[in-house]
Amino acid sequence: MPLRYLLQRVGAFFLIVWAAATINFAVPRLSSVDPVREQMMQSVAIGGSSAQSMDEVIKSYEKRFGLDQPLWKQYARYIWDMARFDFGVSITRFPTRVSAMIFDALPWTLVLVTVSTLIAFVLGSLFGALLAWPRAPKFIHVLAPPLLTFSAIPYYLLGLTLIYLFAFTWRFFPLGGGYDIGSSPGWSLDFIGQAVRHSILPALSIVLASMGFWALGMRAMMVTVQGEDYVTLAEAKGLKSRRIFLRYALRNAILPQTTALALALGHVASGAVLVEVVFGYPGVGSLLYSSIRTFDYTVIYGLTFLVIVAIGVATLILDLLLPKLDPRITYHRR
Amino acid sequence: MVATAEAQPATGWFLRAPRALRAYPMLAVGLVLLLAVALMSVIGPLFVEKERVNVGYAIPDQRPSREYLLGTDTVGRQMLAIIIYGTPLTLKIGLISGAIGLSVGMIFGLVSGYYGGFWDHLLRGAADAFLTVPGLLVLVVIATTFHGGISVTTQALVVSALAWMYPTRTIRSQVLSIRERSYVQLARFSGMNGFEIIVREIIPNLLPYLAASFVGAVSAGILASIGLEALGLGPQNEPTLGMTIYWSMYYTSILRNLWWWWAPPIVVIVVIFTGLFLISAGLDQVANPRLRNRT
Amino acid sequence: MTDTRIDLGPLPTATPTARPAGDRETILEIRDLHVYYHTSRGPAKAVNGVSFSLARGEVLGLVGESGSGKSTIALSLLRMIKVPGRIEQGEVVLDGRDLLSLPEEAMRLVRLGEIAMVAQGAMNSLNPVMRIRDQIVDSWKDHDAGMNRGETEDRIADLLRWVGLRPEVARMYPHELSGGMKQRAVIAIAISLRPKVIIADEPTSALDVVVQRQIMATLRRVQEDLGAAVILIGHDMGLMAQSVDRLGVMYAGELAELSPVRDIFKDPLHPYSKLLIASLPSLDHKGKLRGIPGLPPSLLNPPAGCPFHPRCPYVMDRCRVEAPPLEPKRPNRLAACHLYEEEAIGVRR
Repeated sequence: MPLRYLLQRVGAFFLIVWAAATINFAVPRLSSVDPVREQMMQSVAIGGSSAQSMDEVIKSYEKRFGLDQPLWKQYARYIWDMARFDFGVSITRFPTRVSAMIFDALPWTLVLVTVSTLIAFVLGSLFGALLAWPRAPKFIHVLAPPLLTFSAIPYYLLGLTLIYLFAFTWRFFPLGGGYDIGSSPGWSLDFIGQAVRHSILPALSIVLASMGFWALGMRAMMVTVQGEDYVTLAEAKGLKSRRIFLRYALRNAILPQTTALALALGHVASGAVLVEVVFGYPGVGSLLYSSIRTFDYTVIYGLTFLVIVAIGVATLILDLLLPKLDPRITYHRR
Repeated sequence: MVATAEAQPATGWFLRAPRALRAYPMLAVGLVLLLAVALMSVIGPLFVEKERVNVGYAIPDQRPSREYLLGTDTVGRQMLAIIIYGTPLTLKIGLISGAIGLSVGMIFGLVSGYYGGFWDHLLRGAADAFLTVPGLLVLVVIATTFHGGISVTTQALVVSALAWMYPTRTIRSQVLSIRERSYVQLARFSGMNGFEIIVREIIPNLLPYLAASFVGAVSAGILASIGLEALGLGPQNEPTLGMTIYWSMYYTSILRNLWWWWAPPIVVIVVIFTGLFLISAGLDQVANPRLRNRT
Repeated sequence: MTDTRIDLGPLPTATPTARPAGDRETILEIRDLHVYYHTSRGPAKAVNGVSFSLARGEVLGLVGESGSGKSTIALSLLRMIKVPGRIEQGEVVLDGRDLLSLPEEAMRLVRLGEIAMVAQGAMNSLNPVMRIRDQIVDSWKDHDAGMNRGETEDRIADLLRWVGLRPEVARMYPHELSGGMKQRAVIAIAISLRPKVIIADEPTSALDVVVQRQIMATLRRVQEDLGAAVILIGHDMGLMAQSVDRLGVMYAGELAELSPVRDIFKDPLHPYSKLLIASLPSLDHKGKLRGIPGLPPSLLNPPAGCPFHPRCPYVMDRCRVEAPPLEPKRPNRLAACHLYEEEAIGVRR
């Protein structure tokens, strides 16, 4: 793969990350009061956490971000911190470092979201492709309306319904959390088994709710591709229907579909966050939820930044994967 | 199918509309759904007084009964009233963000697609960049800065900040293809200036895409606002659908089997989204004849 | 009306002499083919009763305006007409078998195996994500042309050489090839299973004149070597003049005239043929460009009687009411026109 393409893509990645960090920096400073400082003061006033060390934290915070510092200096320090994933300490759960909290929660989310999204993408695309193929088995069309209705619902609302039905009314699955109450996380087989059982409903919400979206997109792409000359010629060559479907139609339709995946990652992340909240799943989403309720700004900002970075990485991977799929786009940027 | 429509004299679009709708069943059903929801918001207040929405109005935790048609929640609000008075708020947010998203998207898309060059790179790059960002999180960052005191209109504005990207992209790519068509070239050669061409030649051909983008932006707006509200970041005192869900989770309605608290908002949301979705699928068929159902 | 004569110049020496069709055995026969496209406003009669036969090794040209039905015929022969189109009636007999009544799986094997299509616009006829060799080989696999690995590679190289491509092309992707190369690749695919009939639907319309000539030469050479019959579809009269044995002129879904090519150019029978030839610019003398006045008829509502009568300079009352059948008006020359009725009586085949 030519260097220029690689550099372009990586450059775009860093650009986005930098822009995200900057927005994160700018937004709280737009309002007249610095919310972080306000919140810190508040928690001192409440006296919940050790007031003395909090005082020190506030002092060191002021030294870095206080109003006596020139803006560019604050900004520079901030960017430097972000680059090292140093997000400071949590205001409410003082003195825990924000990065520690996030990295504890991150694996849960990564696994859940990656697996669910991949399953939804593959199944949804296949389903959509079959919907558009005139020689597909008839039962496919029967499955379409329910799946498409599901896709109109936000993930987490579907999750709520699933919890009610399958965890509360019929006790097939646990009610929430990442593992059974009372267990402690570890690498034991038993724990992993619990983790899997607890992930099924959340994963199901994501898969059912997003499958329809991929199916629709794929169906539209397949309709377009089927009108192309090379599909006509494929049929005129007397190829078997399955070969035309897989190697001529699907293979070409999957390209814009993959691009769509890269663009949809932000949306997927947002949805996943809410799903975790609904299920009390111990990932990044629940962390966000709890920090919103307590206005733990440092956690909120650190989290947002990290998620943007994660999405950037995922997009970069997909971008680098695309030329492998489409031999036409090796050399120039579309 | 054709017979009945042909028999009547085609006097005006009013008579022709039913036939057009029959050609696009999805569009028709979608419109009907949304109309039903809107109707409920308009007619409902005639039957149910606004006070029923207030905390402490009724006996809490009541199952649906003849007196409380949809039951009551833990703080004594009547669910039916909440649905009737809360839905229009959600719709309002959707419309505002749809309008803003479409307007900005139209301007950006037209400028980017028609004039190209620097503007194209800038606007398109910005749109792509903003798309990769997880919208909800950015909104969370913005919303938390307000420290909780947010009104419905403010929330609509916040949500609109992320509603313009898809319209921009869609409109831009359509403008690019329309720009190369012969009648536009002809207009350019005959001396029309850019602005005139845009208004007279390009926009009329964009109408199905404008409509589709609007619907998309409304959808995205409602989705984002419900998401924000479900996290507790919406207008605290208004009975919007999202806030209702937030409160229902806050008071653990699932474990207490208060299904009438969280189910009605979900049903209304599903109806709204299904309606929007069908409308946009129907508009897709209008724009792209190949997607139509063949008789 | 004055006849403008076209100076054809020497024909390419591909076929030594154009033997009349009657001398060779018939490989393909089309009888009363009707193909309609069903729209919400009624059926559009794209092909409205076409019959002709094709002899083994013969090159037949089909020429006509857009919408005259030529491409529809090509698709019908391969039974690839899609909804809302339908083959309403007729027979397509290839080597004694009626193709229209074959089960789908048998028809699939006929495609490429016995009738091959060289598509128009090699622009997009090749799958962008597959290498050329894979696109040649997959049809072999699906036609059970069992070969081992070594034989396959040799066969591909031979095939490419045959159409004038270097063997390295096999590993390339379509976007790496020029227009002419892509067209050759499409021809290579078409002939790879030694079909009896090749249908070339505007094979050179997207190419420049120089490449056009090369491609037609390649096609001609290949056709001779194989002994395959060719149906060449297009709207370029000049190209037809240089390439075909017999020429069929189509109008509004019907055949207006079908004769050996030199005869049509020297002495066109049907008024439409006359006007077509008259509209060709001549290198000999200057004059105004002449088109054919009027518009092609609607296929939904074709005119009564002869479909050409609204535009015909020789129209008679009879033409408005009675549709002329395609009949031999001269030896070996078929035309659908009332002008020659009297002469036809005197002709015995």
